[in-house]
Amino acid sequence: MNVAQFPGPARRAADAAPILELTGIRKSYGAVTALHGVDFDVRPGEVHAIVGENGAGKSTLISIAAGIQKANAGEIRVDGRTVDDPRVRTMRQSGVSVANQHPALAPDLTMRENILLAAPEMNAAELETLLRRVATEALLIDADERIEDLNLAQRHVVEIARALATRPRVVVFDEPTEPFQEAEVARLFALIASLRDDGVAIVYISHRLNEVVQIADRISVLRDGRMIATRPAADYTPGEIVTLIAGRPLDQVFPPKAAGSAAGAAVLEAAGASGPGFHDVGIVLRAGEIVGVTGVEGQGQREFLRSLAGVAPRTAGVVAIKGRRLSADGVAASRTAGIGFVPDDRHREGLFLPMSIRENIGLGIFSRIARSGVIDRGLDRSISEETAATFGIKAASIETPVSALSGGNQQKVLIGREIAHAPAVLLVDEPTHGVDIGARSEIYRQLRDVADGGTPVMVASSDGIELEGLCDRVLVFSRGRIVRELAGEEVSDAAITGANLHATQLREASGESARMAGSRLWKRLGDHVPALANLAVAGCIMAAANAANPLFLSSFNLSMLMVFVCALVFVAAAQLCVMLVGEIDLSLGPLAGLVVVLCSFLVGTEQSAAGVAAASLAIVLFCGAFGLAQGALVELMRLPSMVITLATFSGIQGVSLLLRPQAGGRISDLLGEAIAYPVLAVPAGIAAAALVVVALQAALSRTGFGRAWRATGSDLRASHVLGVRSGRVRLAAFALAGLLTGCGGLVLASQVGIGTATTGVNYTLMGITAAVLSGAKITGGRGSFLAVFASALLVQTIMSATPFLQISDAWQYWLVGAATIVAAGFFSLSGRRPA
Amino acid sequence: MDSKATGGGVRSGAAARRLEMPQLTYVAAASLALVLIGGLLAPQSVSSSALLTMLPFMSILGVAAIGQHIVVQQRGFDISVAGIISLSAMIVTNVAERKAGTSDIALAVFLALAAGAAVGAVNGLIVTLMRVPPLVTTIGINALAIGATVYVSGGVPRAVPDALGKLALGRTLGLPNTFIVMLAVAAVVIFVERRTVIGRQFVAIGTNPAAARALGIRVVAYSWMTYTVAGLFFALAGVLLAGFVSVPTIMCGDEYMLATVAAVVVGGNALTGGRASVPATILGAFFLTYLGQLVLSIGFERAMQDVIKAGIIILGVALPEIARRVRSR
Repeated sequence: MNVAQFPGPARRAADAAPILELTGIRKSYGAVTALHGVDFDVRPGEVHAIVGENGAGKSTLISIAAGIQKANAGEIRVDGRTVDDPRVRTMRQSGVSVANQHPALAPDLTMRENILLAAPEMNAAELETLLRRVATEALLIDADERIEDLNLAQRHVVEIARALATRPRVVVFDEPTEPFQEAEVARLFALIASLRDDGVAIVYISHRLNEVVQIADRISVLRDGRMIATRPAADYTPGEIVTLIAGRPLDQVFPPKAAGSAAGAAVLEAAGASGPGFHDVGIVLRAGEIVGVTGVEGQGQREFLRSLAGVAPRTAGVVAIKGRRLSADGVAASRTAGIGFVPDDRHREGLFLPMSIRENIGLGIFSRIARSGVIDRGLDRSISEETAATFGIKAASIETPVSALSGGNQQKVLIGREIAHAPAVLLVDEPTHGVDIGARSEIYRQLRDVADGGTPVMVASSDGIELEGLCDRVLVFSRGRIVRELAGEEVSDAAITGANLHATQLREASGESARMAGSRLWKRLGDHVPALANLAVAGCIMAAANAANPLFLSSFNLSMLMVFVCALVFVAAAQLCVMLVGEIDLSLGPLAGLVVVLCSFLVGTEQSAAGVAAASLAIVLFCGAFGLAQGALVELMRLPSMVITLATFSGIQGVSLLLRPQAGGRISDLLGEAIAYPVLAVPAGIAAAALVVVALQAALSRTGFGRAWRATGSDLRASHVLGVRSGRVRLAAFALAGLLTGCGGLVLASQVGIGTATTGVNYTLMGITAAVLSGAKITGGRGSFLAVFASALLVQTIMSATPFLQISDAWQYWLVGAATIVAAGFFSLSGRRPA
Repeated sequence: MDSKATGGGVRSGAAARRLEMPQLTYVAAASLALVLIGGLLAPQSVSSSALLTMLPFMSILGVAAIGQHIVVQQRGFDISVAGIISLSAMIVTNVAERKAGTSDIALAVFLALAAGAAVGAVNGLIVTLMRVPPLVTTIGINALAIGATVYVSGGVPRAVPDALGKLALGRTLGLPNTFIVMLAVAAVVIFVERRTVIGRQFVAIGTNPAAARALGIRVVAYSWMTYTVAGLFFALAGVLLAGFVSVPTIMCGDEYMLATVAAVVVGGNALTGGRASVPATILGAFFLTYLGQLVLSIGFERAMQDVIKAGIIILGVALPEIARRVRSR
């Protein structure tokens, strides 16, 4: 069973003082307590493993140690000193680093950028060395690849490299081998051994017990949020760990299996089934049996199960239920054909948390409770109550929202719903994720009852003990195919893990690198490419307008156009600042309008040059402060930006109207003269706008702040785990947007020349249009200020050209509206990655 | 198992109502408080005649707000409410002559409603099939609808057909007709949401689209239909508004962009989708309409309404958040 030899003997570290100590850690989420006062420590030069079932609290404990979550009670000590304010950054500075189970990486950033977020000092050569230490040949990655282009195993490599980049003294590996094959596991173990020999303290979390037994010096068992045992690895007798994890001997957890070869008639038959992730799968499910499917993460077992449920696509092959062919038309078709499906992530894909138990169960069984589309209240209630009673769902009533239930009871609602659907075949993906021990054995018994009733059950699980205890047969997937079938006595944790790891020989490594090289140039231009398209279209429109009326390209009209472009560049760049963090600011147009009104009071014709400059500066700073205040509402109060800025959109307009009910107050010509002052034959305003855009772009693509800016918009949760100060970044983005809009407003004021309340309103739409046309990702994480310059030119050209083309005013609205929709649709569809 | 499972005797309907109660109570209490303050500051604003004159405005806002409400339940946001109301108002005033007969008016109203539903359908298509975020979609489509409004009207406001105006201003059994229309719309929406398969699935999608998809619910179709029905409601509001004010301005829909969102927010509904209360949104519409009247009757300028409404919205989203933080402390 030694799939990957763990090198070297474990060094005695028992006498060293612990580096990291956790004492009395408590954590609860609402009514659910995840950790009941847990103690844990790790010493330099030892591998301390934590084992436990899914949902025992391992990941919660680790995220508290990493500063990602805050404990409700308890103490964290590093080198004997209490950490007062455990945050990601402080924990990392004190030398604690975590390689997470789900890689926390910003998908729009490159691998290099992600690592630099954690370790800003690292240079290219060090990065290369680090990468070679972690990755096998097959998984080696170009540091300039974006994370979103990597596969799961490659992302895990980056995650581990990221954790090691800060030269930590304590490294936590949370399920590091999940997507790895034998070669990668061996490489990882060698790495862990060398770290340990260098005196690094290692916390290792895995549900693969044979790995744990191989590499751990000490093993701690966590069960239902309590630390059950902590002992040197050698002090556990074989089989003892399993019993400790499960809380009772396995034969008490699991119901007896089907007697001998009692399996009955074939119910589900699949032949040559293929789809994304799995190929040519043949399988027969017989009445009365529970069949497990498993494999290393990402080998197609889940995809196959999900394709039967109709959730994932199936492109070829024949599947029949009781002799009747099952179409591959999606979930509805599969459900009608008699398939019941329990997805692995019940919060994401299974349950409707704010809805009641009754409503959740009803959603799966309309054929039983509704007549011609109207729900029969009596049936709705009675079937739910019946299900709740059979499953022993603990709740005040069936009207209790599912969100108020414990994980085990939630899972019972979900499985109960699918059983109430009276399926011909029941598919269950990870039946007991995050389920406590009591609910666990009850769920196993229910599944066995279903099977005994003649409905075959297919279970996908990554837990070898669960498969051993529950299943009559286990099918092992590798690279999308079934490579082993284990039956009878062979169905054991050890045999399953062994089959999993041995199964795969090669990974598809070639082909990808060729594609990479070809698109290198394209990648370097990357986000700026839309600029070219914008300039080209703007050129065409100018030519058309000039053909209709040669005055369009007259120098007077051109200089007018340039000044308006200048105003729009500022407003559009402001919108991009906010869009980069995944928000939208609707108030920018009215804010620019308010600047015009303010100028009519503060920048009057009587002002000296110095007075004009001082007042202008004050107005711009005021806009920055306003942006910051809006950002504070959005960020500190966690309020939705679109609602806040829609409110201020109207509110600012109201203020402008109150200040200037009628147009009035001449604005100093000095402002216009300053903006038109030629600098190298270009008006100073345009030169300034260009300068600002280039500076912003440089900051965005080259600096640490720029990386943090994009990471925040790309994946807020990941950036938090990476230790990015996302809150400050988001505040800064809103403040910057205010400042830029203030500049844009000044340019507008110089053109309008008089205080009018409604000048800026259209700039909200135009700014958003320009930002969208520039190819910026509306959901955040990516964009180019250079491209915004070009798209602002295009939008303003459209606005200015319509009068020359002698078409209705309606066209201004139509062209800008259509440009927004078409560009947003185009970038959204072209950015969509093949599944 | 020692499970004291699922007590019988809990009436489902009663419990569902109980779930909604706190939210409704808050909005009702806030509205009552506002009316009391109003009674002190401007006693004439709480006379029954003043309240009755206010009812049609509230009803028109209510119909449009229910449209916004269902979009919000689908985790969306519809800015094009402004353009659709303006467009439908322009269609009724331009398609039918001042003295038009019943059939012409019916045609005009039908065209206005169809245009609203069509614009909504386009919103839905872009959001679902092209996967453009709702905000950007409806901002763009709003511009297209305003363009169409300018095109249809030629930039000149016109009067609504007399018969339609009479209908919109009229009363049945002492209640304004506009109010009755709003009640009918609300009743249909509430019945569908609470008692039908469509309604349960609709709420489920708003709560958790991924889980809805895993149950085979046709998420895209629902989402598309939601924008279409919302467009229809907006257009209905536009027709009622045109009839009630008799010469609607070109941009008469603009103020509804904020007001409809405000009604949903003041109603205490979550903007994250899923369950939401239609009666609460209607109370929100009442609150805002009365507030607007009060601001005017105290002697402020119309622009002040916008400023105060902006403050109310921010408070409306901030208060639940503050309350949550205080409670969790």
